[in-house]
Amino acid sequence: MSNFGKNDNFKIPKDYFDEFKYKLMAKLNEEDSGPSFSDAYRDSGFIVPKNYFETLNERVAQKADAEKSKVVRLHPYRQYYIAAASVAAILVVALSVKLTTTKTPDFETLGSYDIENYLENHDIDFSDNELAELLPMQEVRINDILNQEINQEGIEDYLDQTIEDVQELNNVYDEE
Amino acid sequence: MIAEETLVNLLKQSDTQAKAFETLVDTYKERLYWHIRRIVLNHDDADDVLQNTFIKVYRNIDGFKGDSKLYSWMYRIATNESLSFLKSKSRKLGVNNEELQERMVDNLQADVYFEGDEIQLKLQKAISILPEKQKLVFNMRYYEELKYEEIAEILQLTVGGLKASYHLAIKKLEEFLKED
Repeated sequence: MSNFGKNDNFKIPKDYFDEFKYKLMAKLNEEDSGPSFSDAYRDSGFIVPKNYFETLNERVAQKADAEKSKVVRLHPYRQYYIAAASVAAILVVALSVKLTTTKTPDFETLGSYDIENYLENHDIDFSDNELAELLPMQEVRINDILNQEINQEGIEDYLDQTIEDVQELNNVYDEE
Repeated sequence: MIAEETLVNLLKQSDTQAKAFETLVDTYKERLYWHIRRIVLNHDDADDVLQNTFIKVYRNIDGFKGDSKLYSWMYRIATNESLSFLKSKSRKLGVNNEELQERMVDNLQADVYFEGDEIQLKLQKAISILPEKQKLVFNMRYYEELKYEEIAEILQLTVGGLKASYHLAIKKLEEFLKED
């Protein structure tokens, strides 16, 4: 090994080769984990109230129970509108499934949460009417729509996002 | 610790569901809380979003197909819930996302659950102006110390893209912190 540099005039720092493998390993680790950023900031300064995590279970259970028993008064007109929005959502999913050429993911393997979330968070520039025009009606059966259950949470989310004033909704209901 | 697959099966059976859900909350509450907290910054908001996240998990567990790991799926729900929460908040306040982020960081100074010093506050300011994806990747990699493969599964992005995002985020943060 020592003959490799015997006849030239280059010199290397003391212990260079002994330290080389450690430097190399450190470099490889760094590349694997991405660029480094000072550890000085690791403590973000956020804290939580005392016993917060110990009581979380109970509060989640209470909230879940409370949501189960919550009742929202709805005017039938609103139900039609929600049904129309649901139909639009179903159509978007149906069309996207039909148009896709890749093997995965398919409709069956997608969880309902993923579908809802996609529809919720992607800007789909179609109005309900435009979606209806895209619909090949002969392939849709009335039960495809009627059998879609709209859960209470969906209705609440819809109202939360579209109704400025819930009281106004109750007024419309009372007037009729 | 109970195996993920076992836990999912227990969550899907009505007689074991309640107990399994308790285990699920105990197992994931802290890591999901911190993931959410770093997105919404405020404790009360993080608490709301965390509870909603667990409720969504509970309601949708039957739809969980096991194509990804349970914790990735939960992280994904937590991320989406946090981002939706911020969207809803900006809509209610009538401000755009940038203005909302600025307000959120400004509020930290008076937040009793933030004990950061000037430098940590400055870092939060720097993080707040990062694009959404870079912000998520930075938080998950730097603070939560998740592997790129795990982040890729949660955010459904490629490892290469994530590395690029992290690299860009760090460059921007370093530049911001060097200012003044």
